[in-house]
Amino acid sequence: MRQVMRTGRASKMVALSCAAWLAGCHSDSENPEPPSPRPVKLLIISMFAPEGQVWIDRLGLSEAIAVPGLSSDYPDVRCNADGVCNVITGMGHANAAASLTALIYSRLLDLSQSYFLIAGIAGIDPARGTLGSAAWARYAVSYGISWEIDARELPAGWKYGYFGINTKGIGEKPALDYRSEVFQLEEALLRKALSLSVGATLEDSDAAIAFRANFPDAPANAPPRVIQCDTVSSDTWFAGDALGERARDWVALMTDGAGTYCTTQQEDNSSVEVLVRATAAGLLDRSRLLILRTGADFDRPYPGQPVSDALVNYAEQGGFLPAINNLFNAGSPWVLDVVARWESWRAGVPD
Amino acid sequence: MQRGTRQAVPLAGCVVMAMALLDGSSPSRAASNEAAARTVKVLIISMFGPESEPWVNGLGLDQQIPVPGLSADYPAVRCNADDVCQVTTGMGHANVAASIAAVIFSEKFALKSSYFLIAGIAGIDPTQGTLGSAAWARYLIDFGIQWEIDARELPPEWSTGYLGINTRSPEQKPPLDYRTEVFRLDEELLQAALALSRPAVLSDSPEAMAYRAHWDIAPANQAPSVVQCDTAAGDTWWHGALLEKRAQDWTKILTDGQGTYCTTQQEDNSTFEALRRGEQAGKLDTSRVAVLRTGSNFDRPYPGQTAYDSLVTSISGGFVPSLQNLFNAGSPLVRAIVSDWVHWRVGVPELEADVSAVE
Repeated sequence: MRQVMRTGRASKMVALSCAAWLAGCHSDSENPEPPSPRPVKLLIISMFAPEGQVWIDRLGLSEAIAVPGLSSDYPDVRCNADGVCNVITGMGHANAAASLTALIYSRLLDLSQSYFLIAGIAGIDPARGTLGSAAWARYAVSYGISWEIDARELPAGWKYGYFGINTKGIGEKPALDYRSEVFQLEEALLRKALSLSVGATLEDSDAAIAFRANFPDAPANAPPRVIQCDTVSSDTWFAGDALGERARDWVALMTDGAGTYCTTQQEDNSSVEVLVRATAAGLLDRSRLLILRTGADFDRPYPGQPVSDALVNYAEQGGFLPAINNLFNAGSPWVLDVVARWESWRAGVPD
Repeated sequence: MQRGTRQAVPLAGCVVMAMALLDGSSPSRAASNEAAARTVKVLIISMFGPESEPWVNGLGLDQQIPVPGLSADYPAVRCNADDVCQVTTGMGHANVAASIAAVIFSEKFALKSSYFLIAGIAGIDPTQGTLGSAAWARYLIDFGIQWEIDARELPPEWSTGYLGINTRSPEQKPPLDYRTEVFRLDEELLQAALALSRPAVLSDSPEAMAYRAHWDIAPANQAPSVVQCDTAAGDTWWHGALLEKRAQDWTKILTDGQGTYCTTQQEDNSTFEALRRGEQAGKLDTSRVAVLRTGSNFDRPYPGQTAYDSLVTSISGGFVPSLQNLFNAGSPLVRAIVSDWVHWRVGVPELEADVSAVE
């Protein structure tokens, strides 16, 4: 429409434009019904290209479905003949919510019986995991939705500058006015994915092996494993002991002591918020969602390392490739089980 | 992000005809549309209930259109007979992108000619405004998308714990890998909004007057006015002189020195990104987006006050005037669009002069 509106200024051009435009409108209205939505057994949600490519390559997701409103970097959903699809949202809260909302309300996919796997790399707490660890989350907690005072201006005795909005200080749980502060995932599904993946062989790298030797204790200095611990979301990618301590405290506070922080990333509470809304809209079932985050770098320095060095040189830790490949290594046992036993999974988590 | 809006007014007749057809008997996605998409001249975007009330009451937005995927707190878009509509998104980056994308891709609204007014309250920099100030943004800066280390652990040459992702120091401009880090709004629309709103009478309150007297600098200690300066978005609601300094510097870095930070809020880059997705899908025009933020509180303490007291324990009196001034400063633009729709439909109507010259 804007193309027509921008056509020339002479009246003849206007008349031609009108005619062309109206003809176009008319033919639009005579288009046949669009194809019925494509049934999806399992949608894998990635945040940037390397996270998606591992699934596209190894599951043969060769069918591309263009969806209006996806990131211009990743305009297509990709699927295979087994009904497994992948969407790449773009990074950060804005991109995750915009892409998933555009996808769901396009109604190009039938998600009414689908399972969902958010699978991405993350920073990891060396007290819980290591480079390459694969962590299934029970809780997703927003780290970003907080008040913050610069750490050089803190009240006496404060450990860090973050605390709940409209609270008096650290340790007070805020009212959940944003609704996206904390989500709990379905326990039976979590248990099933854990049991399917706990024996998976995880990838490691020489660089990761060398780097993790800087840590004095396990699990930081031990080979990666599949684990269960929880994830925090913030557009701000933090690093260091003080901000990492806040992540541990905040997850415990927001889950009433039930959660255990281990991974930090930039999207998951935003992605889950969209799935919660779509559940209310009757388009899908958020209880069919799991989150897998793998350790690409530590969230804090090893003893004696300056935190600024740890952050700006994060890519030298050697965790990136193992983390990417372990998304598949830890996630695919569940994905493949859903496909292989769809008649059981269709109705819910099998016993 | 700046896009041309120059469109020829003589096309208006064509537009009228075609819009009537589009909005009436011929929805463009007939198969998925049970009812024709509703015409929208202006969509006002609010983030929480109090921001919506001046519009709902002041413009008589008494039609309710439920939209699947909106926040459970605000499940309907509200409209009036003049085709002014309003949506309340919920607060924070996740809620705004989810709500705005749900509205766009619902196919319930014809948005191709619509103007969008993001109108919300904010923290304000006392060097640029005061309680009740109404600030139209040229640039939207995402403060949240950064790296951060605790500010007590800084290398000697760093002045802040925040730095761009995949940079080496706080002064370095990062690659824009997220695509949402900085947006520039359309200059003609911005200038029109400024010109229309500058004569507006802004609300104030006795509490705000008393509170701003703690400042010894203008404009902090002056009555509020309509200003142009830029806005920073982050889920994390920061406070204090040191983080304010980072917002000022970060705005300069991301705008190559062109922008001036003055308001801080939790949504606007995410809202704009959702609108941009709608534009890329051919559903709307982001050169028709204006952002108005009003000062509800200062973003740092007054001299002698602690950051904690300024954030947590003080009541500045800016909340009510800032809400009222969303309407006081924003409604002249909304009214101009509605009352002169034949021109605004095709673009910001300073163009009339250009067009008549051509004719």
